[in-house]
Amino acid sequence: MPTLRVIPCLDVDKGMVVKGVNFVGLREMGDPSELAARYEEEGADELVVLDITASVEGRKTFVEVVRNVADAIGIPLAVGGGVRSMEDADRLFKAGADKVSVNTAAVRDPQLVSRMAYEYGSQSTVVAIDAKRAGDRFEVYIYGGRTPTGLDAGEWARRVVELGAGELLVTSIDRDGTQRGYDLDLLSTVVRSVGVPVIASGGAGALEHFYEAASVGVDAVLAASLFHTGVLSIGSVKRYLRDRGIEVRL
Amino acid sequence: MKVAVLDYTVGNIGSILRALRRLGHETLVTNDPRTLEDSDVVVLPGVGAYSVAAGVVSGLAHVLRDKPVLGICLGMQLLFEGSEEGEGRGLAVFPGRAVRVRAPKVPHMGWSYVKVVGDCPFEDGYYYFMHSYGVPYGQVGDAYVDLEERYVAAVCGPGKMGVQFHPEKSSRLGLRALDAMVRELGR
Repeated sequence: MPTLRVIPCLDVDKGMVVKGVNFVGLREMGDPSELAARYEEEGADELVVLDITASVEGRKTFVEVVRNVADAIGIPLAVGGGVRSMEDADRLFKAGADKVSVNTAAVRDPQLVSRMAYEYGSQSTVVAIDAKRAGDRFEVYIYGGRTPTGLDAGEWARRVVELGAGELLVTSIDRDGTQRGYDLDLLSTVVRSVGVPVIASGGAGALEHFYEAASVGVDAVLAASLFHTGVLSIGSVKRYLRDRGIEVRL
Repeated sequence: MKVAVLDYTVGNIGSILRALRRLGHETLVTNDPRTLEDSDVVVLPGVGAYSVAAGVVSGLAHVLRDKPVLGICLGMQLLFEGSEEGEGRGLAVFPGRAVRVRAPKVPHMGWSYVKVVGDCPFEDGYYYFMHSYGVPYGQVGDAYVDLEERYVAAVCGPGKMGVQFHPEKSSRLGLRALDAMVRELGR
């Protein structure tokens, strides 16, 4: 069986990693490929790079970033943010992405998920789901968490897997950036709805949060600022998980 | 060494090209018989759908028969007889067929422990897998991976090798395995 994957996420704007990067010893703090190489050294199991720019110029810079990051690492690279069409996905795969994730576009044009799965395989087709608690359910949001869709997260997860998604990146909008821990109810709702791997995202702030996510059955745990600021290292998270009986690659 | 990566016309072969270049090999992407003849090692990459790749490979069976071949993921499955995933015949260098894997989650995605039992030029350890089909271990297999059943992780025959995992995405250990396999095949 695969180990629990620990995945750092680089949010990239204008060619640089944002969300407070505070590493010692990096020549240029915030350079995506330097950070990526450093994370591989520390034992990152995979890397997620997200484009958070909105401008057309930014898009072009981002493809360059993906190419440089792919050149710098030897672990899987998942890329997303602003993918609207098959052409966008093609461009990112060509630049070196092993997986491409779609979010807003999957809601607006679900067939995009099928086309990606057909062309690149389910294992390379990731759907990112941003969700927010609504009573005892979770509602899917798009456009960077600004627009509610009325879709139920569990039902939407099932739907995109039918369409061909081979992995889901599930982010809690309520928890993102709070460091209060992953939304375990959201994660277990999605895990129980599908048979494909699930990546937990949004809210990691302490070692036990990673363990809690593992306990509800996710396959990978993602964090950004926590790693960038050096509050926790990938190695310390993995050693902690191992000591609590979770299989990790060390 | 001159390493030809077979072009199935679909899928994404960026990672394997990067890894081979990093190891200092000259790479080319082709499905031209003469160019394949001319290379030292042919890589069947791990991308795309079975039926498409099997179509390309069958048409080149006469060339590939006498070439050193390394199959990765789907490429390894193409060294066997067939697959539940789709139509078409593999090269049938090894007996057996790929089936949909039985695992708690499918695709089987992530780092799983590979145990080497035969004569493979790499060591036990965690390697990166991303696949939904696999060849049951038993009749053949020089390394295995345990899911709900045991599956072939590698076959290391003379002149033909295959790995179900992605050495090009398995960090330093994977790169070392890729290097050793290409060297041994190209000898």
